[in-house]
Amino acid sequence: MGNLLRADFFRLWRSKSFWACMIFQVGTGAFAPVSCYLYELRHPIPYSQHLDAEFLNFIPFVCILFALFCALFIGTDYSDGSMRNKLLVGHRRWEIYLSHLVTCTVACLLMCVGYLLPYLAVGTPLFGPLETDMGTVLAYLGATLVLTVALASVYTMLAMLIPNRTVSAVVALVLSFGLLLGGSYLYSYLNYPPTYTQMTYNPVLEVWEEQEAPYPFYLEGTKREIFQLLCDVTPGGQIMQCVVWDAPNLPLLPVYSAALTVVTTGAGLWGFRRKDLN
Amino acid sequence: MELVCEAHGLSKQYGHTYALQNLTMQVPKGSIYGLVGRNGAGKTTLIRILCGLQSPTAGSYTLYGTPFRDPAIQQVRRRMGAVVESPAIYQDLSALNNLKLQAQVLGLPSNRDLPHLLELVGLENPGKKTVRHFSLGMRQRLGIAMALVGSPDFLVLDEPVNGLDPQGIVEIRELLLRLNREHQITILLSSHILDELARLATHYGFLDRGRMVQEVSAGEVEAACRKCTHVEVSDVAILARVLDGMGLDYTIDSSHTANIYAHPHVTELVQALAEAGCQVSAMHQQDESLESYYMSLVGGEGHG
Repeated sequence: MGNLLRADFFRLWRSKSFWACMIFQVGTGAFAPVSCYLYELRHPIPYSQHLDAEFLNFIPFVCILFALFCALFIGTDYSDGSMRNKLLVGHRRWEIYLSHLVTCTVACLLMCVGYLLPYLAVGTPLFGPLETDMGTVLAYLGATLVLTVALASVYTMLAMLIPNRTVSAVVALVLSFGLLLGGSYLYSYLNYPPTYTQMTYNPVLEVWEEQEAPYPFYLEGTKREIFQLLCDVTPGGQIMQCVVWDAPNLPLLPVYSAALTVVTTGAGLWGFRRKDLN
Repeated sequence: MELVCEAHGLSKQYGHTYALQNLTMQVPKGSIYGLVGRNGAGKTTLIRILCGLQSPTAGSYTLYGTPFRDPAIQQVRRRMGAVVESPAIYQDLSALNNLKLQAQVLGLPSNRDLPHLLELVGLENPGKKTVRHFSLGMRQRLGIAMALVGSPDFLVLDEPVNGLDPQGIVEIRELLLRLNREHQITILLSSHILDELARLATHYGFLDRGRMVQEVSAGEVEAACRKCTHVEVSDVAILARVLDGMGLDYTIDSSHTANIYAHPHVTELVQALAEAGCQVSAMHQQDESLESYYMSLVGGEGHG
Protein backbone atom coordinates (compact mmCIF):
# COMPACT_ATOMS: atom_id res chain seq x y z
CA MET A 1 0.00 0.00 0.00
CA GLY A 2 2.99 2.28 0.56
CA ASN A 3 3.66 2.19 -3.18
CA LEU A 4 0.09 3.19 -3.94
CA LEU A 5 0.23 6.04 -1.45
CA ARG A 6 3.47 7.32 -2.93
CA ALA A 7 1.93 7.16 -6.41
CA ASP A 8 -1.29 8.88 -5.30
CA PHE A 9 0.60 11.68 -3.54
CA PHE A 10 2.83 12.04 -6.61
CA ARG A 11 -0.35 12.61 -8.60
CA LEU A 12 -1.90 14.86 -5.95
CA TRP A 13 1.13 17.13 -6.12
CA ARG A 14 0.58 17.45 -9.87
CA SER A 15 -3.22 17.65 -9.69
CA LYS A 16 -4.67 20.85 -11.15
CA SER A 17 -7.96 20.36 -9.31
CA PHE A 18 -6.11 20.13 -5.98
CA TRP A 19 -4.14 23.32 -6.58
CA ALA A 20 -7.23 25.13 -7.84
CA CYS A 21 -9.03 24.21 -4.60
CA MET A 22 -6.00 25.24 -2.53
CA ILE A 23 -5.76 28.62 -4.27
CA PHE A 24 -9.48 29.16 -3.67
CA GLN A 25 -9.11 28.28 0.02
CA VAL A 26 -6.01 30.42 0.59
CA GLY A 27 -7.62 33.32 -1.29
CA THR A 28 -10.86 33.04 0.70
CA GLY A 29 -8.93 32.71 3.96
CA ALA A 30 -6.97 35.88 3.25
CA PHE A 31 -9.90 37.81 1.83
CA ALA A 32 -12.48 37.05 4.57
CA PRO A 33 -10.90 39.13 7.38
CA VAL A 34 -10.05 41.99 4.99
CA SER A 35 -13.65 42.04 3.82
CA CYS A 36 -14.93 42.10 7.44
CA TYR A 37 -12.49 44.86 8.31
CA LEU A 38 -13.58 47.01 5.38
CA TYR A 39 -17.23 46.43 6.32
CA GLU A 40 -16.56 47.50 9.90
CA LEU A 41 -14.87 50.67 8.68
CA ARG A 42 -17.95 51.55 6.63
CA HIS A 43 -20.48 50.55 9.34
CA PRO A 44 -18.77 51.07 12.74
CA ILE A 45 -22.03 51.08 14.69
CA PRO A 46 -23.81 48.80 15.68
CA TYR A 47 -21.44 46.19 14.16
CA SER A 48 -18.33 45.17 15.99
CA GLN A 49 -16.45 42.49 14.09
CA HIS A 50 -14.08 40.09 15.74
CA LEU A 51 -11.84 37.33 14.46
CA ASP A 52 -14.06 34.48 15.73
CA ALA A 53 -17.00 35.48 13.49
CA GLU A 54 -15.68 34.09 10.21
CA PHE A 55 -13.19 31.61 11.66
CA LEU A 56 -15.22 28.47 10.90
CA ASN A 57 -17.29 29.95 8.09
CA PHE A 58 -15.29 28.01 5.55
CA ILE A 59 -16.90 24.65 6.39
CA PRO A 60 -20.02 24.95 4.19
CA PHE A 61 -17.82 25.93 1.23
CA VAL A 62 -15.38 23.08 1.74
CA CYS A 63 -18.30 20.67 1.97
CA ILE A 64 -18.97 21.51 -1.71
CA LEU A 65 -15.29 21.83 -2.61
CA PHE A 66 -14.46 18.36 -1.20
CA ALA A 67 -17.31 16.85 -3.24
CA LEU A 68 -15.85 18.31 -6.44
CA PHE A 69 -12.26 17.49 -5.61
CA CYS A 70 -12.83 13.83 -4.62
CA ALA A 71 -15.00 13.21 -7.68
CA LEU A 72 -12.39 14.75 -10.00
CA PHE A 73 -9.32 13.22 -8.37
CA ILE A 74 -10.63 9.66 -8.10
CA GLY A 75 -12.74 9.97 -11.26
CA THR A 76 -9.55 10.68 -13.22
CA ASP A 77 -8.24 7.28 -12.14
CA TYR A 78 -11.33 5.74 -13.70
CA SER A 79 -11.57 7.93 -16.81
CA ASP A 80 -7.87 7.69 -17.68
CA GLY A 81 -8.03 3.95 -17.01
CA SER A 82 -5.21 3.99 -14.48
CA MET A 83 -7.33 2.21 -11.84
CA ARG A 84 -6.75 -0.82 -14.08
CA ASN A 85 -2.97 -0.37 -13.94
CA LYS A 86 -3.04 -0.70 -10.17
CA LEU A 87 -5.24 -3.79 -10.16
CA LEU A 88 -3.51 -5.70 -12.88
CA VAL A 89 -0.09 -5.38 -11.31
CA GLY A 90 -1.44 -7.17 -8.24
CA HIS A 91 -2.63 -4.48 -5.83
CA ARG A 92 -5.61 -5.54 -3.77
CA ARG A 93 -8.82 -3.60 -4.06
CA TRP A 94 -8.90 -2.61 -0.41
CA GLU A 95 -5.39 -1.17 -0.77
CA ILE A 96 -6.43 0.93 -3.76
CA TYR A 97 -9.54 2.13 -1.90
CA LEU A 98 -7.72 3.03 1.30
CA SER A 99 -4.91 4.72 -0.59
CA HIS A 100 -7.43 6.98 -2.32
CA LEU A 101 -9.20 7.61 0.98
CA VAL A 102 -5.97 8.63 2.71
CA THR A 103 -4.91 10.86 -0.19
CA CYS A 104 -8.29 12.59 -0.43
CA THR A 105 -8.47 13.02 3.36
CA VAL A 106 -5.02 14.60 3.50
CA ALA A 107 -5.91 16.85 0.56
CA CYS A 108 -9.15 17.95 2.29
CA LEU A 109 -7.33 18.63 5.57
CA LEU A 110 -4.73 20.67 3.67
CA MET A 111 -7.57 22.70 2.13
CA CYS A 112 -8.88 23.44 5.64
CA VAL A 113 -5.42 24.51 6.77
CA GLY A 114 -5.20 26.48 3.51
CA TYR A 115 -8.09 28.63 4.74
CA LEU A 116 -7.27 28.80 8.47
CA LEU A 117 -3.62 29.89 8.27
CA PRO A 118 -4.12 32.88 5.95
CA TYR A 119 -7.27 33.81 7.90
CA LEU A 120 -5.32 33.99 11.16
CA ALA A 121 -2.27 35.55 9.53
CA VAL A 122 -4.28 38.37 7.93
CA GLY A 123 -7.05 38.61 10.54
CA THR A 124 -4.98 38.77 13.74
CA PRO A 125 -3.29 42.11 12.89
CA LEU A 126 -6.68 43.56 11.93
CA PHE A 127 -8.88 42.30 14.78
CA GLY A 128 -6.52 41.01 17.42
CA PRO A 129 -6.52 37.41 18.66
CA LEU A 130 -9.54 35.11 18.90
CA GLU A 131 -11.93 36.08 21.70
CA THR A 132 -13.16 32.57 22.43
CA ASP A 133 -11.04 30.67 24.94
CA MET A 134 -8.40 28.37 23.49
CA GLY A 135 -10.04 25.19 24.86
CA THR A 136 -13.31 25.91 23.03
CA VAL A 137 -11.45 26.90 19.85
CA LEU A 138 -9.49 23.66 19.89
CA ALA A 139 -12.65 21.63 20.59
CA TYR A 140 -14.47 23.18 17.62
CA LEU A 141 -11.38 22.86 15.42
CA GLY A 142 -11.06 19.20 16.40
CA ALA A 143 -14.74 18.54 15.61
CA THR A 144 -14.31 20.35 12.28
CA LEU A 145 -11.26 18.32 11.31
CA VAL A 146 -12.92 14.99 12.20
CA LEU A 147 -15.93 16.18 10.19
CA THR A 148 -13.55 16.86 7.29
CA VAL A 149 -12.36 13.25 7.47
CA ALA A 150 -15.99 12.04 7.47
CA LEU A 151 -16.86 14.19 4.44
CA ALA A 152 -13.77 12.95 2.59
CA SER A 153 -14.84 9.41 3.40
CA VAL A 154 -18.39 9.95 2.10
CA TYR A 155 -17.18 11.53 -1.15
CA THR A 156 -14.44 8.91 -1.61
CA MET A 157 -17.07 6.19 -1.31
CA LEU A 158 -19.20 7.84 -3.99
CA ALA A 159 -16.26 8.42 -6.33
CA MET A 160 -15.00 4.85 -5.93
CA LEU A 161 -18.40 3.30 -6.57
CA ILE A 162 -19.41 5.51 -9.52
CA PRO A 163 -16.87 5.05 -12.33
CA ASN A 164 -18.25 7.87 -14.48
CA ARG A 165 -16.47 11.04 -13.35
CA THR A 166 -19.24 13.41 -14.43
CA VAL A 167 -22.00 11.37 -12.80
CA SER A 168 -19.92 10.98 -9.66
CA ALA A 169 -19.28 14.76 -9.49
CA VAL A 170 -22.97 15.57 -9.98
CA VAL A 171 -24.08 13.04 -7.34
CA ALA A 172 -21.47 14.34 -4.88
CA LEU A 173 -22.50 17.97 -5.50
CA VAL A 174 -26.19 17.18 -5.09
CA LEU A 175 -25.38 15.32 -1.87
CA SER A 176 -23.30 18.21 -0.55
CA PHE A 177 -26.11 20.70 -1.19
CA GLY A 178 -28.58 18.22 0.30
CA LEU A 179 -26.44 17.92 3.42
CA LEU A 180 -26.19 21.69 3.79
CA LEU A 181 -29.89 22.30 3.21
CA GLY A 182 -30.87 19.45 5.54
CA GLY A 183 -28.50 20.74 8.22
CA SER A 184 -29.79 24.25 7.83
CA TYR A 185 -33.39 23.00 8.13
CA LEU A 186 -32.66 20.99 11.27
CA TYR A 187 -30.66 23.77 12.90
CA SER A 188 -33.25 26.45 12.18
CA TYR A 189 -36.02 24.29 13.70
CA LEU A 190 -33.93 23.78 16.82
CA ASN A 191 -33.41 27.52 17.13
CA TYR A 192 -36.97 28.67 17.09
CA PRO A 193 -37.71 30.49 20.37
CA PRO A 194 -40.17 28.90 22.82
CA THR A 195 -42.32 32.05 22.82
CA TYR A 196 -42.72 35.22 20.83
CA THR A 197 -44.14 38.61 21.64
CA GLN A 198 -47.63 39.13 20.30
CA MET A 199 -49.22 42.56 20.04
CA THR A 200 -52.95 42.55 20.83
CA TYR A 201 -55.34 45.46 20.84
CA ASN A 202 -57.32 45.99 24.05
CA PRO A 203 -60.63 47.60 22.96
CA VAL A 204 -61.58 48.44 26.57
CA LEU A 205 -58.41 50.33 27.34
CA GLU A 206 -57.92 51.23 23.71
CA VAL A 207 -54.21 50.34 23.81
CA TRP A 208 -51.89 47.78 22.18
CA GLU A 209 -50.62 45.24 24.72
CA GLU A 210 -47.61 42.96 24.51
CA GLN A 211 -48.30 39.32 25.24
CA GLU A 212 -45.90 36.32 25.28
CA ALA A 213 -47.37 33.56 23.13
CA PRO A 214 -45.95 30.03 22.55
CA TYR A 215 -44.12 29.78 19.22
CA PRO A 216 -45.96 27.21 17.06
CA PHE A 217 -42.80 25.66 15.52
CA TYR A 218 -40.86 25.39 18.78
CA LEU A 219 -39.77 21.77 19.27
CA GLU A 220 -40.28 20.13 22.62
CA GLY A 221 -39.78 16.75 24.25
CA THR A 222 -38.94 13.70 22.13
CA LYS A 223 -39.33 15.61 18.87
CA ARG A 224 -36.68 18.11 19.95
CA GLU A 225 -34.37 15.27 21.03
CA ILE A 226 -34.76 13.55 17.66
CA PHE A 227 -34.05 16.79 15.76
CA GLN A 228 -31.01 17.47 17.96
CA LEU A 229 -29.73 13.92 17.40
CA LEU A 230 -30.17 14.27 13.61
CA CYS A 231 -28.46 17.65 13.73
CA ASP A 232 -25.54 16.11 15.65
CA VAL A 233 -25.24 12.98 13.53
CA THR A 234 -25.53 14.44 10.01
CA PRO A 235 -22.55 16.31 8.57
CA GLY A 236 -24.85 19.13 7.46
CA GLY A 237 -26.16 19.63 11.00
CA GLN A 238 -22.64 19.56 12.40
CA ILE A 239 -21.53 22.16 9.85
CA MET A 240 -24.30 24.55 10.88
CA GLN A 241 -23.54 24.14 14.59
CA CYS A 242 -19.78 24.62 14.14
CA VAL A 243 -20.11 27.69 11.90
CA VAL A 244 -22.00 29.59 14.64
CA TRP A 245 -20.04 28.09 17.56
CA ASP A 246 -23.25 26.65 18.94
CA ALA A 247 -23.05 22.90 19.47
CA PRO A 248 -24.67 21.82 22.75
CA ASN A 249 -23.31 18.27 22.30
CA LEU A 250 -19.87 19.29 20.98
CA PRO A 251 -17.94 16.34 22.51
CA LEU A 252 -20.24 13.91 20.68
CA LEU A 253 -19.79 15.41 17.21
CA PRO A 254 -16.35 13.85 16.51
CA VAL A 255 -17.72 10.50 17.70
CA TYR A 256 -20.58 10.67 15.19
CA SER A 257 -18.19 11.80 12.44
CA ALA A 258 -15.82 8.94 13.21
CA ALA A 259 -18.74 6.48 13.10
CA LEU A 260 -19.81 7.92 9.73
CA THR A 261 -16.24 7.49 8.46
CA VAL A 262 -16.18 3.84 9.53
CA VAL A 263 -19.62 3.09 8.04
CA THR A 264 -18.98 4.79 4.67
CA THR A 265 -15.50 3.28 4.37
CA GLY A 266 -16.88 -0.18 5.17
CA ALA A 267 -19.71 0.21 2.66
CA GLY A 268 -17.34 1.60 0.03
CA LEU A 269 -14.84 -1.23 0.49
CA TRP A 270 -17.63 -3.82 0.27
CA GLY A 271 -19.04 -2.26 -2.90
CA PHE A 272 -15.64 -1.73 -4.56
CA ARG A 273 -14.57 -5.34 -3.88
CA ARG A 274 -17.63 -6.64 -5.71
CA LYS A 275 -17.42 -4.17 -8.57
CA ASP A 276 -16.70 -5.22 -12.15
CA LEU A 277 -14.27 -2.75 -13.67
CA ASN A 278 -13.92 -2.01 -17.36
CA MET B 1 4.36 -27.50 -23.02
CA GLU B 2 4.80 -24.83 -20.35
CA LEU B 3 1.72 -22.65 -20.02
CA VAL B 4 1.60 -19.01 -18.96
CA CYS B 5 -2.16 -18.89 -18.74
CA GLU B 6 -4.78 -21.59 -18.65
CA ALA B 7 -8.57 -21.24 -18.39
CA HIS B 8 -11.06 -23.99 -17.63
CA GLY B 9 -14.82 -23.70 -18.09
CA LEU B 10 -14.67 -19.92 -17.71
CA SER B 11 -18.06 -18.21 -17.75
CA LYS B 12 -19.13 -14.61 -17.21
CA GLN B 13 -22.74 -13.59 -16.96
CA TYR B 14 -24.11 -10.04 -16.99
CA GLY B 15 -27.74 -10.26 -15.94
CA HIS B 16 -29.22 -12.91 -18.22
CA THR B 17 -26.55 -12.54 -20.89
CA TYR B 18 -23.48 -14.75 -21.07
CA ALA B 19 -20.38 -12.88 -22.24
CA LEU B 20 -18.29 -16.02 -21.79
CA GLN B 21 -19.55 -19.57 -21.70
CA ASN B 22 -17.52 -22.53 -20.53
CA LEU B 23 -14.38 -21.17 -22.18
CA THR B 24 -11.17 -23.18 -22.15
CA MET B 25 -7.86 -21.73 -23.27
CA GLN B 26 -4.15 -22.45 -23.06
CA VAL B 27 -1.48 -19.81 -23.73
CA PRO B 28 1.93 -21.46 -24.22
CA LYS B 29 5.01 -19.73 -22.87
CA GLY B 30 6.87 -17.68 -25.48
CA SER B 31 3.92 -17.56 -27.85
CA ILE B 32 2.05 -14.68 -29.42
CA TYR B 33 -1.50 -15.81 -28.85
CA GLY B 34 -4.08 -14.08 -31.02
CA LEU B 35 -7.68 -13.92 -29.86
CA VAL B 36 -9.94 -13.78 -32.88
CA GLY B 37 -13.62 -12.98 -32.68
CA ARG B 38 -16.25 -10.54 -33.82
CA ASN B 39 -17.55 -7.69 -31.64
CA GLY B 40 -19.23 -9.12 -28.55
CA ALA B 41 -17.53 -12.50 -28.93
CA GLY B 42 -16.07 -12.11 -25.43
CA LYS B 43 -12.45 -11.15 -26.17
CA THR B 44 -12.37 -8.07 -23.96
CA THR B 45 -14.35 -9.78 -21.20
CA LEU B 46 -11.83 -12.63 -21.22
CA ILE B 47 -8.94 -10.15 -21.04
CA ARG B 48 -10.61 -8.22 -18.20
CA ILE B 49 -11.05 -11.43 -16.23
CA LEU B 50 -7.45 -12.52 -16.81
CA CYS B 51 -6.28 -9.06 -15.68
CA GLY B 52 -8.29 -9.30 -12.44
CA LEU B 53 -10.63 -6.44 -13.32
CA GLN B 54 -13.65 -8.74 -13.20
CA SER B 55 -14.39 -12.07 -11.56
CA PRO B 56 -15.68 -15.03 -13.54
CA THR B 57 -19.20 -16.21 -12.76
CA ALA B 58 -18.02 -19.81 -13.06
CA GLY B 59 -14.88 -21.71 -13.96
CA SER B 60 -11.30 -20.89 -13.17
CA TYR B 61 -8.01 -19.80 -14.65
CA THR B 62 -4.38 -19.96 -13.67
CA LEU B 63 -1.49 -17.63 -14.33
CA TYR B 64 1.89 -19.37 -14.28
CA GLY B 65 0.11 -22.29 -12.63
CA THR B 66 -1.33 -20.19 -9.78
CA PRO B 67 -5.13 -20.41 -9.48
CA PHE B 68 -6.88 -17.03 -9.59
CA ARG B 69 -8.39 -17.51 -6.12
CA ASP B 70 -4.98 -18.18 -4.58
CA PRO B 71 -3.74 -15.10 -2.66
CA ALA B 72 -0.35 -15.63 -4.37
CA ILE B 73 -1.97 -14.52 -7.66
CA GLN B 74 -1.32 -10.90 -6.61
CA GLN B 75 2.43 -11.58 -6.74
CA VAL B 76 2.08 -13.43 -10.04
CA ARG B 77 0.25 -10.47 -11.57
CA ARG B 78 3.39 -8.40 -11.11
CA ARG B 79 4.83 -10.49 -13.97
CA MET B 80 2.02 -9.22 -16.22
CA GLY B 81 1.56 -6.03 -18.16
CA ALA B 82 -1.61 -5.11 -19.99
CA VAL B 83 -3.34 -2.57 -22.16
CA VAL B 84 -7.07 -3.17 -21.92
CA GLU B 85 -9.11 -1.30 -24.55
CA SER B 86 -7.60 2.20 -24.31
CA PRO B 87 -4.12 2.86 -22.90
CA ALA B 88 -4.34 3.58 -19.16
CA ILE B 89 -2.41 6.83 -18.93
CA TYR B 90 -2.96 10.12 -17.12
CA GLN B 91 -3.79 12.77 -19.71
CA ASP B 92 -2.39 15.65 -17.65
CA LEU B 93 1.04 14.12 -17.10
CA SER B 94 3.98 13.82 -19.46
CA ALA B 95 5.05 10.45 -20.85
CA LEU B 96 7.96 10.19 -18.42
CA ASN B 97 5.83 11.19 -15.42
CA ASN B 98 3.28 8.54 -16.38
CA LEU B 99 6.05 5.95 -16.39
CA LYS B 100 7.39 7.27 -13.07
CA LEU B 101 3.93 6.95 -11.56
CA GLN B 102 3.64 3.36 -12.77
CA ALA B 103 7.10 2.64 -11.36
CA GLN B 104 5.89 3.97 -8.01
CA VAL B 105 2.76 1.83 -8.17
CA LEU B 106 5.02 -1.16 -8.72
CA GLY B 107 7.46 -0.02 -6.03
CA LEU B 108 10.47 -0.04 -8.35
CA PRO B 109 13.58 1.25 -6.60
CA SER B 110 14.93 3.15 -9.59
CA ASN B 111 13.58 5.11 -12.56
CA ARG B 112 16.81 4.67 -14.49
CA ASP B 113 15.35 2.36 -17.15
CA LEU B 114 12.31 4.48 -17.92
CA PRO B 115 13.86 6.61 -20.72
CA HIS B 116 15.06 3.35 -22.26
CA LEU B 117 11.46 2.09 -22.25
CA LEU B 118 10.33 5.19 -24.12
CA GLU B 119 13.10 4.56 -26.62
CA LEU B 120 12.02 0.92 -26.97
CA VAL B 121 8.49 1.91 -27.97
CA GLY B 122 9.68 4.70 -30.26
CA LEU B 123 8.89 7.68 -28.03
CA GLU B 124 12.44 8.94 -27.58
CA ASN B 125 11.74 12.66 -27.44
CA PRO B 126 8.23 13.31 -26.16
CA GLY B 127 9.54 16.23 -24.05
CA LYS B 128 7.36 17.72 -21.35
CA LYS B 129 4.27 17.61 -23.55
CA THR B 130 1.31 16.18 -21.67
CA VAL B 131 -0.27 13.00 -22.98
CA ARG B 132 -3.41 14.99 -23.83
CA HIS B 133 -1.51 16.39 -26.83
CA PHE B 134 -0.24 13.02 -28.03
CA SER B 135 -1.46 11.38 -31.22
CA LEU B 136 -3.36 8.09 -30.97
CA GLY B 137 -0.28 6.17 -32.09
CA MET B 138 1.89 7.84 -29.44
CA ARG B 139 -0.70 6.99 -26.78
CA GLN B 140 -0.80 3.36 -27.88
CA ARG B 141 2.98 3.20 -27.72
CA LEU B 142 3.02 4.86 -24.30
CA GLY B 143 0.32 2.43 -23.15
CA ILE B 144 2.59 -0.45 -24.13
CA ALA B 145 5.54 1.25 -22.41
CA MET B 146 3.40 1.55 -19.24
CA ALA B 147 2.64 -2.15 -19.46
CA LEU B 148 6.37 -2.87 -19.78
CA VAL B 149 7.44 -0.86 -16.71
CA GLY B 150 7.66 -3.82 -14.36
CA SER B 151 9.62 -5.90 -16.93
CA PRO B 152 6.72 -8.32 -17.34
CA ASP B 153 7.08 -11.62 -19.11
CA PHE B 154 3.41 -11.83 -20.04
CA LEU B 155 1.85 -8.98 -21.99
CA VAL B 156 -1.90 -8.75 -22.57
CA LEU B 157 -3.00 -6.32 -25.29
CA ASP B 158 -6.57 -5.64 -26.28
CA GLU B 159 -6.78 -4.23 -29.82
CA PRO B 160 -3.31 -2.64 -29.72
CA VAL B 161 -3.50 -1.35 -33.30
CA ASN B 162 -7.04 -0.03 -33.12
CA GLY B 163 -7.28 3.35 -34.84
CA LEU B 164 -3.66 3.43 -35.94
CA ASP B 165 -2.54 4.48 -39.40
CA PRO B 166 -0.75 1.90 -41.60
CA GLN B 167 2.68 3.11 -40.50
CA GLY B 168 1.66 2.96 -36.84
CA ILE B 169 0.36 -0.58 -37.33
CA VAL B 170 3.69 -1.66 -38.83
CA GLU B 171 5.63 -0.02 -35.98
CA ILE B 172 3.51 -1.68 -33.29
CA ARG B 173 3.83 -5.02 -35.08
CA GLU B 174 7.61 -4.71 -35.20
CA LEU B 175 7.69 -3.71 -31.54
CA LEU B 176 5.62 -6.71 -30.49
CA LEU B 177 7.72 -9.09 -32.55
CA ARG B 178 10.87 -7.61 -31.01
CA LEU B 179 9.47 -7.96 -27.49
CA ASN B 180 8.53 -11.56 -28.16
CA ARG B 181 11.76 -12.58 -29.89
CA GLU B 182 14.37 -10.50 -28.10
CA HIS B 183 12.82 -10.25 -24.63
CA GLN B 184 11.01 -13.60 -24.63
CA ILE B 185 7.75 -11.94 -23.61
CA THR B 186 4.62 -14.04 -24.07
CA ILE B 187 1.92 -11.92 -25.68
CA LEU B 188 -1.84 -12.41 -25.62
CA LEU B 189 -3.53 -10.02 -27.99
CA SER B 190 -6.90 -9.50 -29.55
CA SER B 191 -7.44 -7.76 -32.84
CA HIS B 192 -10.09 -7.22 -35.43
CA ILE B 193 -7.48 -6.81 -38.12
CA LEU B 194 -6.98 -10.47 -38.96
CA ASP B 195 -4.37 -9.90 -41.67
CA GLU B 196 -2.30 -8.05 -39.09
CA LEU B 197 -2.82 -10.77 -36.52
CA ALA B 198 -1.76 -13.35 -39.09
CA ARG B 199 1.63 -11.64 -39.36
CA LEU B 200 2.19 -11.84 -35.59
CA ALA B 201 0.49 -14.75 -33.94
CA THR B 202 2.06 -18.11 -33.30
CA HIS B 203 -1.18 -19.44 -31.81
CA TYR B 204 -4.84 -18.55 -32.28
CA GLY B 205 -7.95 -18.83 -30.18
CA PHE B 206 -11.16 -18.40 -32.17
CA LEU B 207 -14.03 -17.09 -30.08
CA ASP B 208 -17.67 -16.91 -30.97
CA ARG B 209 -20.58 -15.96 -28.70
CA GLY B 210 -18.44 -16.37 -25.58
CA ARG B 211 -17.18 -19.83 -26.50
CA MET B 212 -13.76 -20.96 -27.64
CA VAL B 213 -14.50 -22.50 -31.04
CA GLN B 214 -10.97 -23.66 -31.70
CA GLU B 215 -7.42 -23.25 -30.43
CA VAL B 216 -4.84 -23.84 -33.06
CA SER B 217 -1.22 -23.05 -33.82
CA ALA B 218 -0.24 -20.70 -36.64
CA GLY B 219 1.40 -23.66 -38.41
CA GLU B 220 -1.86 -25.57 -38.43
CA VAL B 221 -3.76 -22.55 -39.73
CA GLU B 222 -1.13 -22.05 -42.42
CA ALA B 223 -1.43 -25.68 -43.47
CA ALA B 224 -5.19 -25.34 -43.67
CA CYS B 225 -4.94 -22.04 -45.53
CA ARG B 226 -2.17 -22.93 -47.97
CA LYS B 227 -2.46 -21.76 -51.54
CA CYS B 228 -3.91 -24.19 -54.06
CA THR B 229 -5.13 -24.40 -57.63
CA HIS B 230 -8.72 -25.48 -57.89
CA VAL B 231 -9.51 -27.47 -61.06
CA GLU B 232 -12.72 -28.78 -62.59
CA VAL B 233 -12.27 -31.70 -64.97
CA SER B 234 -14.40 -34.25 -66.84
CA ASP B 235 -12.71 -37.25 -65.14
CA VAL B 236 -11.04 -36.84 -61.79
CA ALA B 237 -9.49 -40.35 -61.92
CA ILE B 238 -7.46 -39.36 -65.02
CA LEU B 239 -6.48 -36.12 -63.28
CA ALA B 240 -5.23 -38.08 -60.27
CA ARG B 241 -3.15 -40.37 -62.50
CA VAL B 242 -1.61 -37.38 -64.30
CA LEU B 243 -0.88 -35.49 -61.07
CA ASP B 244 0.73 -38.60 -59.54
CA GLY B 245 2.86 -38.83 -62.64
CA MET B 246 3.92 -35.18 -62.24
CA GLY B 247 4.60 -35.67 -58.52
CA LEU B 248 2.17 -32.95 -57.36
CA ASP B 249 0.35 -32.87 -54.02
CA TYR B 250 -3.44 -32.76 -54.37
CA THR B 251 -6.80 -33.53 -52.78
CA ILE B 252 -9.93 -34.73 -54.54
CA ASP B 253 -13.06 -32.74 -53.68
CA SER B 254 -15.64 -34.51 -55.88
CA SER B 255 -15.89 -36.60 -59.04
CA HIS B 256 -15.11 -33.47 -61.08
CA THR B 257 -13.11 -31.15 -58.78
CA ALA B 258 -9.72 -31.27 -57.07
CA ASN B 259 -7.21 -28.96 -55.35
CA ILE B 260 -3.57 -28.99 -56.38
CA TYR B 261 -1.18 -27.73 -53.64
CA ALA B 262 1.63 -26.52 -55.83
CA HIS B 263 2.22 -24.25 -58.77
CA PRO B 264 1.72 -26.59 -61.72
CA HIS B 265 2.92 -25.62 -65.15
CA VAL B 266 -0.55 -24.98 -66.54
CA THR B 267 0.22 -25.63 -70.24
CA GLU B 268 1.97 -28.91 -69.44
CA LEU B 269 -0.84 -30.06 -67.14
CA VAL B 270 -3.61 -29.21 -69.62
CA GLN B 271 -1.71 -30.91 -72.47
CA ALA B 272 -1.12 -34.03 -70.36
CA LEU B 273 -4.80 -34.18 -69.39
CA ALA B 274 -5.92 -33.69 -73.03
CA GLU B 275 -3.63 -36.48 -74.18
CA ALA B 276 -5.17 -38.75 -71.46
CA GLY B 277 -8.67 -37.84 -72.63
CA CYS B 278 -9.67 -35.53 -69.80
CA GLN B 279 -11.22 -32.11 -70.46
CA VAL B 280 -10.40 -29.14 -68.18
CA SER B 281 -13.48 -26.93 -67.76
CA ALA B 282 -12.14 -24.47 -65.11
CA MET B 283 -8.98 -23.70 -63.22
CA HIS B 284 -8.31 -20.92 -60.68
CA GLN B 285 -6.01 -20.02 -57.80
CA GLN B 286 -7.39 -20.23 -54.27
CA ASP B 287 -5.70 -18.34 -51.39
CA GLU B 288 -7.54 -18.99 -48.11
CA SER B 289 -6.80 -16.33 -45.51
CA LEU B 290 -7.09 -16.29 -41.72
CA GLU B 291 -10.32 -14.38 -42.26
CA SER B 292 -11.86 -17.07 -44.46
CA TYR B 293 -10.55 -19.73 -42.05
CA TYR B 294 -12.30 -17.92 -39.19
CA MET B 295 -15.49 -17.49 -41.20
CA SER B 296 -15.49 -21.15 -42.13
CA LEU B 297 -15.16 -21.96 -38.41
CA VAL B 298 -17.88 -19.73 -37.02
CA GLY B 299 -20.06 -19.33 -40.12
CA GLY B 300 -21.51 -16.09 -41.44
CA GLU B 301 -24.75 -16.19 -39.49
CA GLY B 302 -25.31 -13.19 -37.29
CA HIS B 303 -22.06 -11.53 -38.32
CA GLY B 304 -22.23 -7.99 -39.41
